[in-house]
Amino acid sequence: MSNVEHIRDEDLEFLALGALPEDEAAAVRAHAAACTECAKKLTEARGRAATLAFGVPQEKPTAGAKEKLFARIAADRGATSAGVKNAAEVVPAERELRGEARKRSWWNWVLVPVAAALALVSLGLWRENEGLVGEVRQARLEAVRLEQERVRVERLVNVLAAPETITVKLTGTADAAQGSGVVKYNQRSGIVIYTAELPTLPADKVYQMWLVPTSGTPISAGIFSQAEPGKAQVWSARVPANSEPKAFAVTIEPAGGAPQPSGPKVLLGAS
Amino acid sequence: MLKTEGEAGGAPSDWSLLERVVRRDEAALSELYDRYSGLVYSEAKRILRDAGAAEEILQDLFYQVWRTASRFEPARGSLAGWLVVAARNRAISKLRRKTGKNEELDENGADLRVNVESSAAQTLLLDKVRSVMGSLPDGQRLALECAYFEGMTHSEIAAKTGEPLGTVKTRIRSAMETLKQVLG
Repeated sequence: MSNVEHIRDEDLEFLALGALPEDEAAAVRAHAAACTECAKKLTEARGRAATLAFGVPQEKPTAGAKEKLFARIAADRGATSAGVKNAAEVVPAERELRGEARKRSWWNWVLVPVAAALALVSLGLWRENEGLVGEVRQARLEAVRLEQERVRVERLVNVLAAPETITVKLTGTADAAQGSGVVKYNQRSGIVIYTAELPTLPADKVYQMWLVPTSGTPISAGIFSQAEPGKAQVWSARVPANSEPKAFAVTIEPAGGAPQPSGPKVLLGAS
Repeated sequence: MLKTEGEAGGAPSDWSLLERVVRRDEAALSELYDRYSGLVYSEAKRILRDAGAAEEILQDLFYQVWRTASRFEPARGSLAGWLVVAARNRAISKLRRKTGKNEELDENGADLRVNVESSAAQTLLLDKVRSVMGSLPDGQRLALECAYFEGMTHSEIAAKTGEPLGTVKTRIRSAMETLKQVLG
């Protein structure tokens, strides 16, 4: 390509940045596809443009993204295995047809069962291997889940133990005279941890915890349901840090909760 | 795909990990993912401003690496370069609702000219790029960002900023020249 006119460097830079209109970009790409020199310059220009991505504040994707990727790969492997299995089922049928077409030799009577046995052993080993791979993956996922749970519990324990964490006792109102609860609130982190003893609600209702600030409207601290009365349950939620509570209250709301208290108040405690 | 240099401090190079991916080694893919997922995800999210869409692009790219690792040609640039360019192109296509053809591993190579296989090297380059971008005149920086992160052509940038097309081209050219001098 030494006797042809090369693409100007600036156009290669524009293409690498994505700043060329599509018709011009197509022409530059077509030239570069056939010109080693311009292709090399374009690769370098793309590299320079790509460094702009390093200037972006780095964030990590969620752990779920990686799990989905590997689940997709595992699903592919499952589909391939199914294909192998189907192929294995076809082989005996073909063999049978061939067997009808010609007389089997003495060796066939010996080798066919041996081959079949080997195939069965291979299939068994392959299945065992697949099972082990699956178990290892499950174990890894379980380890990740347990680690996340450990971090969550550790954070809650730290909040409970923090000297600035306040405790507010909740008592039942006329709508739930036997009800009671305890709230632990850490103003610095905005973490609210609470337990409650309340009657079980119908499926279309939930309890909702509210932080009632010294000024402004109540702030939701999560919804909960008393699925197993009598069994100790702990809930936690996060509200905006440094919210100053005047009281904590629990109301009955429609399933999914409400933006502001709308149902009967069942527990109340001043901080 | 026999290039194995770039192994520093015992960490396997991208090339050796890609070779293992070709042999269906999921641990190798996992290592590549850990190495570059933050970079790819952050870039796609910066363009789309949508975490879910950015994760989709991230998954698709690494799935493609898994399926077609054998096609990767070291002579045409680095894996990190390809990932960044492909993530940018796919995010821009999505942003502009275009259905562009997805890049294959053997095309659109990008030579970063620096090894970014360790997080320390990535941080170093990050500092360098931020420093360059911070030192550019506002007009040059805006032109670069509109092109790379918004997918705008130089004519569209001219229309947006109200500057003559020639001025926009000069700004992009000057900014890229600065980048070239700093990166070497």
